[in-house]
Amino acid sequence: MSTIQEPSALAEWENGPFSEAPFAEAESDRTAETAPTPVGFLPWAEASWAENLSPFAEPETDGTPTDEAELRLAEAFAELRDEFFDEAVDNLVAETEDVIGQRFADESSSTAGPEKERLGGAHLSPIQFEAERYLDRLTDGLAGLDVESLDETGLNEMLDRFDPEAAPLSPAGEEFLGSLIRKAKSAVKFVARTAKRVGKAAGGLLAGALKRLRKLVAPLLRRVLSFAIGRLPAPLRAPARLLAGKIFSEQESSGQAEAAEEDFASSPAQATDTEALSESFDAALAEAMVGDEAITAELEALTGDEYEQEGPLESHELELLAEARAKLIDTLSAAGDGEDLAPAVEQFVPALLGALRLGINLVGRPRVVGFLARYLARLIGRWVGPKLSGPLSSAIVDTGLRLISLEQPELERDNEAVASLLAATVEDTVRRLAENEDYIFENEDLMQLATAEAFERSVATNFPPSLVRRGLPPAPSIAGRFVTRRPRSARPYRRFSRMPEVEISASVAERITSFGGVTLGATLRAAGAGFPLRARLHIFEATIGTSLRRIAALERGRLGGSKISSTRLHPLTPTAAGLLLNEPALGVRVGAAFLQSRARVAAGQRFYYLEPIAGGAPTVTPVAARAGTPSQGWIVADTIRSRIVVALYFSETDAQTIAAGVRAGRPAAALLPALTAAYDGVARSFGTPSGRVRIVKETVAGEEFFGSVAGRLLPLVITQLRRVIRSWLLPLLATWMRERSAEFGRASASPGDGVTITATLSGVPGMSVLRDALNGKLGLGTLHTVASGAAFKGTPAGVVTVQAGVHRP
Amino acid sequence: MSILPSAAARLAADDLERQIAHWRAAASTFRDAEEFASEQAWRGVEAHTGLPLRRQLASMVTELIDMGRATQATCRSARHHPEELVVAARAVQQYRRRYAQVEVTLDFFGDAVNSRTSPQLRSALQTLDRLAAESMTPVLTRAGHPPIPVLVYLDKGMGASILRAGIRLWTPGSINPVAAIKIVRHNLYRPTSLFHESGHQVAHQTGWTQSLRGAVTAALEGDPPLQAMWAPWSSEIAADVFAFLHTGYASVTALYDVVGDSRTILRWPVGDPHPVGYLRTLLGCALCRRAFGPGPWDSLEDAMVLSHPTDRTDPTVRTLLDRSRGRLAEIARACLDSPVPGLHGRPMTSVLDPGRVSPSALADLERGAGTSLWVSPHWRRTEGIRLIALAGLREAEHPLDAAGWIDRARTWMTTEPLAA
Repeated sequence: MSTIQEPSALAEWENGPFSEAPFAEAESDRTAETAPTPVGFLPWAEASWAENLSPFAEPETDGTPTDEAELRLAEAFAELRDEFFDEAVDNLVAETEDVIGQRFADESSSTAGPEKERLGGAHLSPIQFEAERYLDRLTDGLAGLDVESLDETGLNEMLDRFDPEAAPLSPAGEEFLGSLIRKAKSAVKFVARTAKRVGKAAGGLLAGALKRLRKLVAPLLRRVLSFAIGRLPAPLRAPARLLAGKIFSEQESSGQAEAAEEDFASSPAQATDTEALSESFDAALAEAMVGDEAITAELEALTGDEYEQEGPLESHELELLAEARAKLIDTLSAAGDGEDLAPAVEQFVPALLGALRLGINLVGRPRVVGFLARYLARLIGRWVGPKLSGPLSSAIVDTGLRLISLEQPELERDNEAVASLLAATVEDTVRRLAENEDYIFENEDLMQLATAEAFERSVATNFPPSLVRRGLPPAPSIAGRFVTRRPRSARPYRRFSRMPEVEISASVAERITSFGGVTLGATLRAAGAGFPLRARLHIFEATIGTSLRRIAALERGRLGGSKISSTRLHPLTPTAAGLLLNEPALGVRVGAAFLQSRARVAAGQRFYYLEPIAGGAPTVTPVAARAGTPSQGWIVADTIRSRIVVALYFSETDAQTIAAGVRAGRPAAALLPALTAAYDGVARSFGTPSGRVRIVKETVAGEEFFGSVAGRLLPLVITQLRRVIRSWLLPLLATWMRERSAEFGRASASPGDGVTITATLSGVPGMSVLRDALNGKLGLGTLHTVASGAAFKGTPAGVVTVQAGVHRP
Repeated sequence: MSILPSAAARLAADDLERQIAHWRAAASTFRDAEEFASEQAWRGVEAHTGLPLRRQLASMVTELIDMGRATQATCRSARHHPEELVVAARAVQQYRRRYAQVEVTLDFFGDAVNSRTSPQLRSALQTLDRLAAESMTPVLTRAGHPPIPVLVYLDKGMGASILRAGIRLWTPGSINPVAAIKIVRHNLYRPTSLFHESGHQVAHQTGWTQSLRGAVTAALEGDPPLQAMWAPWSSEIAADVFAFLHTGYASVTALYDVVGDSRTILRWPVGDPHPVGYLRTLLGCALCRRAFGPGPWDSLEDAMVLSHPTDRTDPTVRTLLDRSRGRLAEIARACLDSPVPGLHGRPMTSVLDPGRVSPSALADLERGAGTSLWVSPHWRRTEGIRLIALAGLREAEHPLDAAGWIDRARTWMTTEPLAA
């Protein structure tokens, strides 16, 4: 093991690549310090389930791959995945947080924990009651029925008969119940469709699936409550080993791919999130839907509540971190001039690493941690103490937020502003350092360089620009800094001290991508914004424990509405920052996994909210009950059934504009360009990590894959596939448009947000080539046929349907 | 007050301190906005209106409290320096007056905000806030002015009113940051009068009133009594024309419903800036004829003339009314073509095309949007003003179904729109 040099040797790193210290003023000489005894990681090591980085059990193999079973499981899982259910769960958490937050101002879940649980539980219990009552009624109603003999229409009609009467539930409760009902219906339809294929009676499978679904409701809502009171719940136990492996391999492989290309890394702001909860819920249900004996046997072997993990239901790492942060802030506030801060930093680091998923890189490296603590203590020590903190305190006041609000503003207390800033700098430095790969810590020089770089970037983020060396602040023209909000809570976040005004044109908005690959332009149009849009940009940064729904809830007073949804927060990537502010360095690059959904964000990731400034084109209406879904599309290529489904959703605004053109007798001018542009938008995402193209393929030798095509297809194959789908799709849509465009008008007049046009191509030639390409088995000869287009020669049959609302394939 | 003996001076000083303490304590309650309106009502005002308003009110309260602190210090000093008693007494009186002025201001806005008592009213008034602001923005933008936030509030009575943005409030040194428009209950869901009021704001900012006065006077050349009659009405005429440009015939029928009281329709009160109701309605019909040609306004005019013959009024007034009726076409042309200084001499119609609210254009909108017109949030957002015009037009055309049209308008105005 390499020896960590004494702090005096740090002079090389402080004055090497950095001609000055990160601070604008010169660094003063320091005396060497003796290394303190490394602190262990007791709290972290003892958290039983936290030791297990994967929330899923390790795969158990009996040596015999069950390809067929895995395929059915994957199909069932895919059938269940519903982003609206995920959103409903997240909204339910947000609503429950609000209910608790209105009664208990103190966010710490250790304060009045049982009371908060009781209050949150009381809020959720009617929802649980209605959900279970519906499932009981559905189960009883379907008992003995021959669902397999019903066609799709008949099955839908029968299932609709069990829809419950409107119950007096909260808005999020209604949304959750609605999406749960949809999920139950999907499960029933899947079982009815596939039971015969696997030689099983649908009745038995159905009963098992619905029984499982009912049993999952209570544990799911228990975890909703955990999130709402600021704890991280253990996921539902899902022994769907291959699904688990698939989920993680998708994320990890995408992370590795990105790490190989770029010099960034991101840790999740929370070790688990509502999307992971929904995924584990679907995985648990999918098992029952396929009724695989191997999986069923495994489940029956479990004792007690088979959906609960062994060990604690919740982890308290965020609370522990909050306590450690508070202690660090108190120590820094009370420290005298020149006081040794290394012990304070060292007590903080383990709590931070415990909450930081990538903290594994620093675990077991007490020497690195010790070095880091001494390094940070030295550099921040010059700003601590009654005399030394003066310049920093003055600089903070100049860049601080000025708030005028009827609500009780959470202004930084003067005596805490400096301490909070320094604590944030320490936290950021440790996080950034921990995100480095292992080999960095094996090499003395590299490790010290990484430490210095991490510290430099943290200073640039947190310190007032006037105290930071030129060239380091990320947005020199805006001259702000990030201020920690609620630094003592388990769910803090950062807010940028400046709110620049921007004017956004339609073309700029189309070039900025938000979560899920949807453009900012589509999102703004769906919300009724006109262009150019004048807006004030509010910028936030996530730290450990941040959730976007919490930012939306806490900022709503400042952002001017009683209902601000997290759907109005968009990722501030370097592209977005460059286009909006001409300051790309203010944006942050993150892994693709953190750009898919608002439920899953990275610590250090930045976001923006657009507050419309009245005037100009019709302004966005801020107050609302529900966000308008932006226009977007999806493609699913099923290589097993040689089928491609393309779904193009048009937001309410876009749908009405098109429908007006159709009614005016101009369908070709109104509809066809919109369809073409929509397909081209989805097709552009082919091959990108956040792409909206999914591929279904068979399992091969135990491998499972259903997901993004990132990194799996050769660029040549992607280009040809994109081109050939277009060549099949557009003529089909043009014919439909000519003969049945009035359907679009009718759909737009129906209740429902927007319109979805779905084109299903069957008998698609070349799917075997696609499969081979995914499996890395594309030979030279086949490559030639791909290049020439012969691989996809032929014209599939096609059907186009139109429906009101959002309908993903 | 002359310099008093020490005991008397102490007594006077004590009393001044007691007084100022009372007023300061009363003023300190102003810090809590819920003293004037509920938190829900405050939150029912959108940020781009609410924030500047609350900023102004907060600034007023802060100044009042600071003034109280200074006055108290003056009173304390007077306890030890009797020669300062006079100054202290005056300061206390000034502080009382300032307190009252701030209270009036806070009360006004508190009452206005507090009219958002229910979710339905909040939603309707927020919609009207937005529509009123939208009605002004194109003209203000063209004239190089920033957009003006609007606060609409509900009150009883017949007529709407506006407290214009930019005017001095009751509290010295404070300027009204928002256009506060009162709308009355009978017009809440047929709010064409909203645009009459926003028209006042626009006319003031663009200098239109003076120019329209000149144009109407020129149109009535050769008839000095008529010129003298019409010239003072320019401000209200400008506002009526503004409402017409936004909502067409609907503004005329709504106006007639307000002024159609048989006791007052032919009356010409001295100093009233409003035109005689009879002439006001006739002018509206003339504007419709000028912009759209023949239409239901002709029947309205005939009906009104039959119902309210001018021989029921004073002979001098009657002559003027009859002569005015003969010159209405010219007056209408002058109103629509009058140059607007803020628009570099171009008429208001260069920004607000009345053709957009003609019956045929509104029918096109209805046809093009189909049944989604009244339910889709898209149309609510983009065509809110024309929806008001269409509802008013259809209500006038099908009076037996008036309740249905009001209901339809009520539904779309009170259904919450989609989020941004």
